[in-house]
Formats: sequence, structure tokens, C-alpha cells
Amino acid sequence: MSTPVRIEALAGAVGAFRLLPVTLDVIEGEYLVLLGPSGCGKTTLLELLCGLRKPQSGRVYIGGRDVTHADPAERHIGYVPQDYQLFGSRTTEWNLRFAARLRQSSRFDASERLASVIRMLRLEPLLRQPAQTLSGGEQQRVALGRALMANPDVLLLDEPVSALPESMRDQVCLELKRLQREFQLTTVHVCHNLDEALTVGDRLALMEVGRLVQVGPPDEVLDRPVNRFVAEFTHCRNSWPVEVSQGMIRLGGIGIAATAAPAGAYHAVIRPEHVVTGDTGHACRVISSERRPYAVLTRATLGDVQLALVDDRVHAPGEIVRVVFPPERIHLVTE
Amino acid sequence: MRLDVRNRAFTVSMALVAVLYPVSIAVLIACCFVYPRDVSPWLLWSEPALRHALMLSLVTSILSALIALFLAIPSGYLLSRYRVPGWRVLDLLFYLPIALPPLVMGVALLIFFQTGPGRFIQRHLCEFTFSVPGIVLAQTIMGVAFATRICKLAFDNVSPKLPGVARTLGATRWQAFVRVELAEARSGLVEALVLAWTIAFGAFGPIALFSGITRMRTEILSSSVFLEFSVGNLDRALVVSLWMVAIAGTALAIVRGRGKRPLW
Repeated sequence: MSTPVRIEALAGAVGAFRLLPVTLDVIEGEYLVLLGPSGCGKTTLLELLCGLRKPQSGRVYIGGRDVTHADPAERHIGYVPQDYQLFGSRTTEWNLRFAARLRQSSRFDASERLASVIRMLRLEPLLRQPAQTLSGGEQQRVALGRALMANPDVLLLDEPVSALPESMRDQVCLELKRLQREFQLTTVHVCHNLDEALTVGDRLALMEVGRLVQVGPPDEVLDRPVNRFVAEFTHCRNSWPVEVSQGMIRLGGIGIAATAAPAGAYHAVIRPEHVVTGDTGHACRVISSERRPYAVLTRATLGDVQLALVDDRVHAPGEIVRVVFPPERIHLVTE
Repeated sequence: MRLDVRNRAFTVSMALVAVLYPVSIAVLIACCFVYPRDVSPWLLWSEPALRHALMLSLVTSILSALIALFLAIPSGYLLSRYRVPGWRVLDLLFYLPIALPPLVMGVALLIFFQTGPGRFIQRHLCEFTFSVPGIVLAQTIMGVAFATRICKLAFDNVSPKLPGVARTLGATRWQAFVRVELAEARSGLVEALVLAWTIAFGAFGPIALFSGITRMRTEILSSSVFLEFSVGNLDRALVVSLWMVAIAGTALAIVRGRGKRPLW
């Protein structure tokens, strides 16, 4: 399988912020989500990929070509910035035709592509409208269409739905995913929202401040975080300092098998949805219990530790809930 | 209801103050128009000296406005986009001609062309003092300062990320500047051109000092007003003034009245 984007030890800086060397491959036709909190360097990495910033070290390959020092125009990328950055006083059609005009149809048939982009993104009614008069969702579609008109080897999306109302994001994410499949486009999508990342991503690349910490399919990142930061960022609310001794860890007064890990100090993490509740198991006292969109999140104490679990009913504070920790679901991290 | 009354009182009081200036200007101009005079309003066409002054005013002001805009675009862009060391000094130097009395600019120009570099320019490139090129130079220097401010504001309103996006779509740095940044800032650039032209068209002090007021040679319309007034021909000065108002007003109405339609 080819790798349209290969990043080798790419490092950069913006003012005092340093992006430590990042190595990452994006596979052909893959939808990779670069995920992390604000200020962690996601956009910086994307701008380094676009050629809008000069790297301090490392190399970037796009479509098999070394483009580390190439002009953005020579990278064959489709870039959708965070706030879309449409050419506001121009019409939608002018925005869409911009790339085609510059590239003089040398790489593709512009009219055919324009027709296909207009159809796929349902832009026909907007063609004559100045871009600055469009709504957020319309601007997003035009920005995407403009990027697609460049016939890119890779599509780079910087927080493409963050400017949209909360209620629209899910739908737009699904639309993005559909388009990515339809155009068979290798895509890198930057965002800080886990739900958004899980909706679109084939793989997630998690960034902590200035560094890439974990890359993998969503299940792997959620179930086996490499450190506490990833666990916390992916809403894994259960993380406790533990000691592994003789293949066991002690948690809230109970012993749990941890045979795979050598003896030492760790943090044990388990996702709330993996804590099994039932009629048997260890007794926990409920502290709070509230309804969330798809389940009930309950916080309870087990001995001296506090844990979160997901259930299907709201518990009263002080109520006893019985839980079991499946050993295979407990993951030990060192950081 | 009381809130409504208070809101209305606020709006009315603001409006009263706001209309004071435009009404005063309208009254002043109207007074000039209705003031009784004994000379023909077509004086400007019938008198060769005044006709020459009119043509010279139009040609030099248009030329200097174009030169001013050509210089103001990169200057405004630089001031808007970059914070290089010495930016404040640079900004101050662009502001200075606005703050200084125009006459001082005329004196400075005269002095400069008495120095070595100035004499070299006059000898080998172009004669500026007491000549038509001097009029253009003085008008341009005045115009650049104002046009640069407007150009800077115009570029401030264009997102600095746009050229980057254009480059990812295949544009070179120059294409991104011309086809995207200049195009997006075009309304402001037209404003800058108009302002530079109005400054040039109405300039008097530095031109009188630097280029002199010689009939059929370096006399422009603003100099004509002064000349006619200084010899007691108030009627003739008034006619020239009214024509200046009419020309400037028409030009402004045409350029500003076109709204935000793209020029290219």
C-alpha cells in the first residue's frame, strides 16, 4: 500500500512554541485525524505539510516526492483552513475556478471536475453568490469544493467543522467521510473533538503539547492509550496509580491479575464502559449519577479509589453498585 | 416606553452633532454658489491662462495620484503585514507628512534640491524646482502619506491567511498577491487613489513654494484662486473655486457612487 504522505522527523517552531520531531505515514485513501487539545501543534504540523511554514528539520514526502522545501503550489494538496478563508468578494464559482485557472487544466479536465464538485457538494444554487454572503455550512462546502478543484494528492482539513453550529457538525462530518470515500482521497483532518475524530477517522494521531504521542485505529487509541494524557483526552475517566507485584495490582482493596506487566509503578486505566456492573462483584458506593446522551454516567467509590462507570439507569447517591473489572480491559501505562 | 424615549433622545442628539459638519460644508459651498458675481462662470474655458491651469491641475493630479497609489500599495502592505525592526519609525515617517504643515514639505523639497544629491538629480535626471515635474513630486509626496494609511487599512481587512491558501491552490507568491490580496482590498485601494487625487488636486502650499506660480507654466487651479484673490479679483477667484468644487465633487461622486463593484 502506497503512502501519499510521509513525514520523517519533521520539527518546526512558531514563536516560543516548538513542535518536536514528528514521524508519521498516511496510507493511500486513508482518513487520518490529527487529534489533540488547542495549542498542541496540530495546525503547525498541518501548515508544515502545506509548506506555509518552514520546518526546522525533517522531511515531507507527498505523492512520493520530497516536498520539504517545495512551494505550497508544487505540493498538489487541497487545504481547507479553519475559518475557510474564501475569497470573500468573489462568487462561489470564482472561488471554485481559482485553482483550475492557475493550473490551466494541465493535470485534469477542469470543466468535468467542476461539474462533479458542484454536484457532489450541491453548490449549484450558490454559484453566483459572493462568498462573504454564504452561511457557515455553505462556506465550508465551498472551501472543500475549492480544495477538491485543485485535484490534490492529499486533502488537508484544519478544524473543518469547528466554525459550524454544534447541531450541524455530526452531519457535516458524515458528509466529509462520504466525499472522502467517493473521491478516494487521502485525507488529514485536524480537530480537537473526540466525537468528530471518531465519526470520520480511520486512524487517529494524538498530539500532546508539541509532540505526537500515539497513532492507531480508534479502538486501539481508546482501549490501549499509551499514557495518561491519551487516556484522559479520550474521556477514559478511570486512571489510578498502582504497583504491580507478583503479577497483581491492588485497586481499592481488591487484587486484579496483571500478569503481562513487569513489577513496578504504573497507572491503571479502564474505560467506564468496560467496567461491568451486575448482581455480583465488588461493592461500590454511588457518589453521583447523571444521564448523558447515550448512557448514564455514574461515579462511585471503591475503597479509597473513585471510579466512573457507564450504566443504563440513574443511581441514587449512596446506593451500592456491584462492579467487576475484566483484567483484559485494564491497561497499564507508565507515564 | 421610557426606554424607547431615552433611545430616541440618544439617537437624535448623536444625529444633531453628526450632521453639524456636513451641513456646514454644504452651507459654505452654497454661499459661494449664490454669491453675486460679475464674471462669466465659463471663465475657466474662455481665459487661456485659467484653461492651462485647469488642464495642468487635472494632468498633474491624476498622474501624481497614480504614482502615489503605486508607492502606497507596497508601503501599506508592508505596514499591515510585517512587524520588522524599526517598524514604529517607519510608521512615523509615513505619518509625518500628514502631521506637518504642507508648507514645511515645500520648504524641505526646496532645501533638498539645493544639496548635493538634489543637484545631481536635477542635473542628470529631471529638473524639479519651479517646474511641472516639481508639481507632480510635491503632490505625490502629500498623496502617498494619505494613500498609504488607506492602503494599510484595506490590507488590514484582508485575512493574512488568504495568500497562503491561494498558494496551496497553485498560485505563486505574486499571483496570490495580485489575484487575491489586491483584489480583495480593491475597494480600499480605490479609496486611496481617490484620496490621493483629491489631496493632489487641492494642494497649494508646497507647490507654490517648490514650483512657484508662473502663469501658463506652473499655475494650477489652487494657485489661480490665490493669484486672483491676491490681486483683488474676488469674483474670478470664486469662479475658479466653484469649478474646483464641481470637478472634485463629480469625481468623488463617480468613484464612490460605483459602490463595491469589482474593478477587475
